[in-house]
Amino acid sequence: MSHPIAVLEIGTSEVRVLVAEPREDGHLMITGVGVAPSRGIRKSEVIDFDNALACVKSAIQEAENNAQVSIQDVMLVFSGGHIRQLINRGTVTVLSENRVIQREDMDDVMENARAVNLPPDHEILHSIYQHFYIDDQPRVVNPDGMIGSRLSLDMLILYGVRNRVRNLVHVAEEAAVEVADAAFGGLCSALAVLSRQQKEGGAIVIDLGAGTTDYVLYSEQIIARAGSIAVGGDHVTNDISLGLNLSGSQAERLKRKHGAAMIDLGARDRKIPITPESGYPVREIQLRDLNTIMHARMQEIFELVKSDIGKESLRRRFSAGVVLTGGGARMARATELASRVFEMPCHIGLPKEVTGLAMPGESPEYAATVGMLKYAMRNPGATSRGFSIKNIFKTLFLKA
Amino acid sequence: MSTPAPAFDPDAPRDPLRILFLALGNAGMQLIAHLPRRVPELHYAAVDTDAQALEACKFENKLLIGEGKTGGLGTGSNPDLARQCAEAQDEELVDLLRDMRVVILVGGLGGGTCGGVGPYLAERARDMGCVVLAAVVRPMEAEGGHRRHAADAALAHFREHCQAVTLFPLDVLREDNGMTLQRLISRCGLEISRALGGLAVLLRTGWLLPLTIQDIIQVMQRADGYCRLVAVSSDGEDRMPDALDTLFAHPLIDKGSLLAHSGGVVIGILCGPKTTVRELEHISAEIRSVLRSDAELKIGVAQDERFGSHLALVAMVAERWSERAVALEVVNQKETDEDTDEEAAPTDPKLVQGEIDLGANANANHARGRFKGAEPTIVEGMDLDTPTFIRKGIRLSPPIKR
Ligand SMILES: Nc1nc2c(ncn2[C@@H]2O[C@H](COP(=O)(O)OP(=O)(O)OP(=O)(O)O)[C@@H](O)[C@H]2O)c(=O)[nH]1
Ligand SMILES: Nc1ncnc2c1ncn2[C@@H]1O[C@H](COP(=O)(O)OP(=O)(O)O)[C@@H](O)[C@H]1O
Ligand SMILES: [Mg+2]
Ligand SMILES: [Mg+2]
Repeated sequence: MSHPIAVLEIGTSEVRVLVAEPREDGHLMITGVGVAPSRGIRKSEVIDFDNALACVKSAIQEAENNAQVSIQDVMLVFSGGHIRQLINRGTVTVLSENRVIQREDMDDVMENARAVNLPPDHEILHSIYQHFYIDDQPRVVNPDGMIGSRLSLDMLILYGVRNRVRNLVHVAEEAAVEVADAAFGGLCSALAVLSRQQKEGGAIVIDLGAGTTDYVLYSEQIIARAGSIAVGGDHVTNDISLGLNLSGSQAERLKRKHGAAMIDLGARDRKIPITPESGYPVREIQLRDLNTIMHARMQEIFELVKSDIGKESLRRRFSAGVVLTGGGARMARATELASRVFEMPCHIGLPKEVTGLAMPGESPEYAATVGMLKYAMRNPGATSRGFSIKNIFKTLFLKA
Repeated sequence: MSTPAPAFDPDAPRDPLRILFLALGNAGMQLIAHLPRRVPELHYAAVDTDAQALEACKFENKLLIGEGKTGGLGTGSNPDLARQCAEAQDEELVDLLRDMRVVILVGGLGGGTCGGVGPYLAERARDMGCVVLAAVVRPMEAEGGHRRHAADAALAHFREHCQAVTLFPLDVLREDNGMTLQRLISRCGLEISRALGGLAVLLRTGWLLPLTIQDIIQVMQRADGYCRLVAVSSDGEDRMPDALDTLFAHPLIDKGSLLAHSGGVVIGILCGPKTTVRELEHISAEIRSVLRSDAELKIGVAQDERFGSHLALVAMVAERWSERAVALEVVNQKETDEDTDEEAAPTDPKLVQGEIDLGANANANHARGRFKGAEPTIVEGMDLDTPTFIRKGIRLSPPIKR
């Protein structure tokens, strides 16, 4: 029996730790959950080290207690608006005399495709295979053993500011755990909620977090694009708090309880009483205003993702449509709005194939952590490799 | 609201606009089968590749095309074949369109005849100087992927040639799980007939406040041509609030949310001689109040004896209004050199929020709130930490006083 695996997500709204064991049917059995409201984290980045450390410690502690294990190393889920993408094509000449492509040629072309010039202080976070080409014959899935004189490979490279990710790792290490591996939350979320068929048919997964909105595009069995934008649920809340003159926590409560991403004309005259906090007078607000503010922001977020993805990529087929994860997916009528912006069907993605402690399987905000667990389960070596942020997900994303 | 008509004479003959309803294929004929009875003063014609279906149709003008190619049995959802049939009988088709000013094409997007002949006719009618609208039914999800793809392609072709395409998605008209297919299709026909009939009457009838086909075209141009069209009516004491409630809850405009989010809306009010100015003012104010503050609204009022104490509202709601998010400075600049017929948009961000106090400088700095200490999110020169509604100049209601 393999030993339990722990995943740590230092999110903007919550720090989450999951401990799980694989079951024989391939499902994940979650044996421990630790959650702490985040402090010192904005837009998925550390802005106050000590506060962030305190929450990470407390979440780990809680997970250890209820899983009855001691956590030594974790898989870290990260995100951040600094994360950028590029697609680099590497090309090599096939060396063997009979022009049969061999393992070495493939290794060469991968290395070649991974060799990019990044701005100073940046590093590659993920390099993900897309398509091979043999003498310009496109879309070869596995060239091993095929014949050709030139072999090319498109590599999707996600890179980011080195220290931003290192800071998150550093917080975890200060909390006395080893970071065995780390991965971008968007990729993890997609892994948790998409079935194999959905990856093949094409899908756009959008993780609506508090500080960032992460997205991943699956198309024709490959990850076509991925990215992160530093706007999220916090922006929605902040807009509400400024527009309606409410405190942050009032705005957050109002958003969750009465808010929606669309305006409902049936309830256009509805007023909502606001329970006063000290310093704020008793009053009512118009539901319509609340939803107008939310709609404007959410529409903009989806439009930003859409333009980041680009018209060209959107022309592909996405038979699974848009899948929303993250806490923001809980917002009433968010799927409706997304479906309008992207002009395709949209649904909420819930982590699949998990059992045990109830919460994660029913919560879109657990998609990223569960996805990371799944990855770790399938790649048991990962946890003992020590920290290497470079080649993560290599095997995983080779094919859908 | 626009300026009232200088002199209103309900008896003055208005240039009778020649409007042709052209039904395409089985769906087209079924959808508006009862319209001639309700609005006999318009022109009706049907084109199909299916002899039997055409036989059953009661329109004044009917044309069977492609008999040699299909044996008069329809195209079996093959728009390419249907188009060939149309090309081969171009002259006869053109004859149907002659002397018409407005042509309204009606059909089911998933059908071969509608999908193939429709865009062809739209192009021909435009060449002849007609205003061309299409009212098309989008197939149900359950009709399968092939139909849906064919329908999407047909829609794009219609869009190329029509001034406005009004879409009637079958799925949104579904009421509950027990609804029969027959009922769904007849409900769709009812909605289309009401909406198109209402629109046509509006365009031809003596008006109180002008609304012309040009007004509609102008709004639709900015809407990229796509819109939803819906008509509701009501009678009796509470006809006005009733009609508004029905409109605001109508499935064809997504229970009102499409209206609330639309950038451009045309509202036609059809009423009998008993309607008071007060009522009209009220309707217009109610509608204005549910629209986006920057939405373009055109209202027309037409009077027709036949309406008696009835009141009908026809709403044409732009489905897309693709204006990019722009920074506030840019908004202000744009609005000063553009002449808007609505009240001038406020240029001071403070005024945008009415009485809501955003402090001395409601700009990026003030709005940082929660994001103090974090790197600002700047995309294409826009500070995304500033609330979207402020950057877009969206107005909220003044605070409720108790
Ligand atoms: N048959 C029929 N279809 C309808 C009706 N209302 C809507 N539709 C839709 O219209 C599409 C069917 O198109 P038809 O009208 O049967 O096809 P057509 O235009 O006659 O073209 P052919 O394929 O050549 O027969 C379907 O996808 C339905 O979604 C209706 O009353 N009858
Ligand atoms: N019911 C709800 N309606 C709207 N937003 C919600 C709701 N529930 C949670 N959220 C939002 O989801 C965000 C948190 O999502 P989560 O995925 O946990 O973020 P992160 O991983 O960045 O911590 C918060 O901004 C929160 O306001
Ligand atoms: Mg998250
Ligand atoms: Mg037919």
